[in-house]
Amino acid sequence: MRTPGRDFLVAVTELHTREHLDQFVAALSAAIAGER
Amino acid sequence: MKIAVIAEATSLGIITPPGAHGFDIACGEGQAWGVATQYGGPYVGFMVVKDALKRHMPGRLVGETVDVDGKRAYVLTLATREQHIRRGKATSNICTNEALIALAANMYLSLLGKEGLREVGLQCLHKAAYLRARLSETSGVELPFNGPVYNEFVVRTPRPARRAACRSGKREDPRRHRAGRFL
Repeated sequence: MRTPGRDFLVAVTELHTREHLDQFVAALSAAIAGER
Repeated sequence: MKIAVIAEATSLGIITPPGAHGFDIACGEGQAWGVATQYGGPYVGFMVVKDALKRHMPGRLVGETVDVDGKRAYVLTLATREQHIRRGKATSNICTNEALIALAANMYLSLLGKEGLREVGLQCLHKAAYLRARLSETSGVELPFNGPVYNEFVVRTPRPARRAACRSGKREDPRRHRAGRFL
């Protein structure tokens, strides 16, 4: 079931580097931690 | 008649062609073929059909041939507009010319070639798998769907992710400032 606002789509392209992806994980993790 | 819709054009570099699965028509949106986002458009679409249906396609078909010197050349082969043939036989009255965007997509595909398109597809697939694996290990992140993915997937966060990203700007952790860039 969809949960509005909590669900979002992640799209990865060939231009993303591993560093970009790691930065995204770190940023999202930090944002979630800040909400708690 | 079976119609396939391709959601992500670059995936065609690594998936089995729709025709091999018995589809008669395949169509999709081709922005990923080198057409950058441009303030809302224009974009490019594509449609391919089995040979038997080609005379029913809207627009025009350009065919490959050779010139008088035996060099590869292209020529307008089929034009099904009512301006070109009898109105009763016409299958298209598409008039707006979007050839610029189609040309950009063609250049992208020509530069990549068959192997390049496959490489793009593999990179998208592997990088999405890597990110998905990393997120699955991240506290508070859910992946609500577990079906196979190509380069897109849904992520669920405990609270609205955008709000978390906005609030994060007040914190000292520099990584939090970056979240807004992604979300």
